[in-house]
Amino acid sequence: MTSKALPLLVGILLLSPASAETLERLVAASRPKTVDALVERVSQWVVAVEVKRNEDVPLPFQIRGASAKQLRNYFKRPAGPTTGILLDGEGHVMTSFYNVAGTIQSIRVTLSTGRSFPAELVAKSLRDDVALLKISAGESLPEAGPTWADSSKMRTGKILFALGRSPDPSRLTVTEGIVSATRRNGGRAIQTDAKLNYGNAGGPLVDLEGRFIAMASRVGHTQPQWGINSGVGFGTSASTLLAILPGLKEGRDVGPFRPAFLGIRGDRDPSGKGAQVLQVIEASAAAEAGVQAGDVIREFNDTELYNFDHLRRLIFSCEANEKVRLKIQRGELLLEVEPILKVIPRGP
Amino acid sequence: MIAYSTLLARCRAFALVLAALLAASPALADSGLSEIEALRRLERKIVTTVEAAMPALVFLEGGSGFMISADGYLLTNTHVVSDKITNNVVQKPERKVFNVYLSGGKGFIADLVGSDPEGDVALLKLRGDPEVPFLELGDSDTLEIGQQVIAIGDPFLIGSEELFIQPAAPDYQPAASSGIISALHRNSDTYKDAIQVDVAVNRGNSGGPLLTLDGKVVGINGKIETRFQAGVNTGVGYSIHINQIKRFLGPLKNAGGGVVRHGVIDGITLAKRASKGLGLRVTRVKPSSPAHTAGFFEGDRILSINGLPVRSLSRFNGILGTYPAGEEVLMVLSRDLQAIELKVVLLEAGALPYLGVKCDTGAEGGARITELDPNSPAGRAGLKSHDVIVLLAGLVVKNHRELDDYLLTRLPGDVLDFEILRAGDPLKLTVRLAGQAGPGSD
Repeated sequence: MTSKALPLLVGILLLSPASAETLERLVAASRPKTVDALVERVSQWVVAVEVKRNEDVPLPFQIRGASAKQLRNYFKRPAGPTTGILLDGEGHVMTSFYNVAGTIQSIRVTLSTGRSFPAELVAKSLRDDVALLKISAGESLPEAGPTWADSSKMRTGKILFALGRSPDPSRLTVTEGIVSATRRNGGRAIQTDAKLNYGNAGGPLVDLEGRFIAMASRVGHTQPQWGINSGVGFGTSASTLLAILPGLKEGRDVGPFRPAFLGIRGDRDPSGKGAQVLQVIEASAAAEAGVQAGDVIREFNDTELYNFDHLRRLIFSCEANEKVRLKIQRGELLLEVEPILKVIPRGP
Repeated sequence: MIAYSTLLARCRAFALVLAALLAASPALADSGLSEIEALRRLERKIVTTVEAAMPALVFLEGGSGFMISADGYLLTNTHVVSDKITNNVVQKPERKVFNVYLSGGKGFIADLVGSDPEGDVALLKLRGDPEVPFLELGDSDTLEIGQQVIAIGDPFLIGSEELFIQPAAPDYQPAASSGIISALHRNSDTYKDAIQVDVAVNRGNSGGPLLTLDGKVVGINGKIETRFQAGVNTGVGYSIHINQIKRFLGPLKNAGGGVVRHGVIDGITLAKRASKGLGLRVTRVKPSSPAHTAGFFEGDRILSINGLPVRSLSRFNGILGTYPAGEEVLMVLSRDLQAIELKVVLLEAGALPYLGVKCDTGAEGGARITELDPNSPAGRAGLKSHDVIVLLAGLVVKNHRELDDYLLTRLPGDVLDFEILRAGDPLKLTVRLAGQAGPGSD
């Protein structure tokens, strides 16, 4: 009986991916070779970035009861190299701006071949935590660079690998995870559960085929402990990087994001249809466009609004000086106004 | 019925096939799967599962939840809807109405239908007559260590709060993280029978679903182990398993915004571990206790509860900890080498009266107080250590066992007249009994 049953069993194991348990075992069996092949494909353009700095960035915030020395120790980044991405044969290297922040003495980039060169900061984007460096090689560099993934095909749940050159520049570290969310940082970054630590910042996140999805960065890390291997990490998306790289190559810095401001206070009831205006702030974009307390904003740039929070989210995805279109209900009247958003005012 | 040895032989044959299959990579190649294809298949499964589940995810103020029916029932943790936690025990929520958002940002007002503070589960319902996407509940008894699982939620409230990300805009996009089941039947405070996972779950994930690759909910992610108050995931997270929650759903729906208590069997003392194959020994049954009334005897050995084998005291508590009060469980015992079945109705923890004293028997008879909780009914009524209780509600108390037995026949709230001797002098006191202190009591 056993001998007859065996071939049947093998058949079931191989042909039915519906059995999750079997799939998991197949994955476990095939993971090492898959990762080997992937590392082979990408290692040439994953580089190490070493920085000598006189002074680090100021402490992000105070903790009551802690001395300045304790705070410095708490926030101090570990010593050692971090990771970067070699973009082309001209020696452009992209990394997280956090890696080169502070008062810098020198930057050195070590290639996968082990050769190491001094590098200069070309430009930075605070909005997306990106620094563009250029190696001064004085000789020709290998034509290496990532194969860029198509960001429009990004889906939550896709498997990815984070690659790093820390602590040993000569050997890659690989951590596996999935895409946790696709539209963080206003749609400019992804979130991943791959374990990212200090040495990963500036390194690539690649898909199963080794295509470059995003660069591990510190966008959104407003509290330092959230950067410690919590399983909540971020990467600036390939599409965002492709869009900003031409400007960075020309030496143009990008400042921090400044959210746009419409200038209304609204009812926080989530179940209402549309955004109920309770108050219009003086001299704001809303006031200048004639929005009044008691109005109900039904649509924002042709998007039907669920509630006030929905409107806020859409405003925050715009930039200052952008003209937007609002459909407003005022009693029986349906109005359309086009305010020009302003910069969010500083708090008192 | 399959004889044990045959079953073992079959398992062995199966294991051999599997081992052969895995050891020989060529088998993988023969199957037509390239090395990468296995991971691609896993990826497709994760993507499909996550994308199908996302729309049913709920953002609550301070945590996550998920829809379980088209007409608007949703599950979350009690600690997401309650601010009060004392001694690691979540207290019943004070608030009853919450603003909630579905994935994508559509908002609703939800009412608290019922909560299970000890199990850390709460049931809410959306107002209005919504037609919403929902998740199907799986079977957590079939889970295996090493099985791939997915958590969905709102870690650090990134998707719903404005502090985290620079543009300061909630996007109401839930986050998914993936990992494996590290252990089953974990006991951590009031989580009596938790699933341990290495999936990255963090503050804000609380109340979110744990899914298997078939897209079904097998648990609610409730807590993590952290150190030094870092508050970030360490790779040790606990989920409340869904079969436990299913047992509470009926009572929760009928709770009218109130709480559902866990069930207990009171009056029974058990050995710590079962002897091999013999079951867990009952070392003492309190006379007149609910356990006594239910039919337990000293020397009984408990083999199983509702078909789940009992191998230790912690597992006994673990299984019972997943049932609400009022539920009947079927216990299989071995008594005098005979297997017998016992149907036991679990009572509410806290349904037993609490006086607040420990006694021995006085030199002249009566129950002499050796320890006294000053905040107990006895303490508040003015009883003191060394007092000897001689008369209770008109009945003579010969020794401390009689006091215990009599108390078990009373209910919380009962008012009893005590006659005591204090340093030889008689004294009369009146005491109102409370409910037994414990995690389930108010």
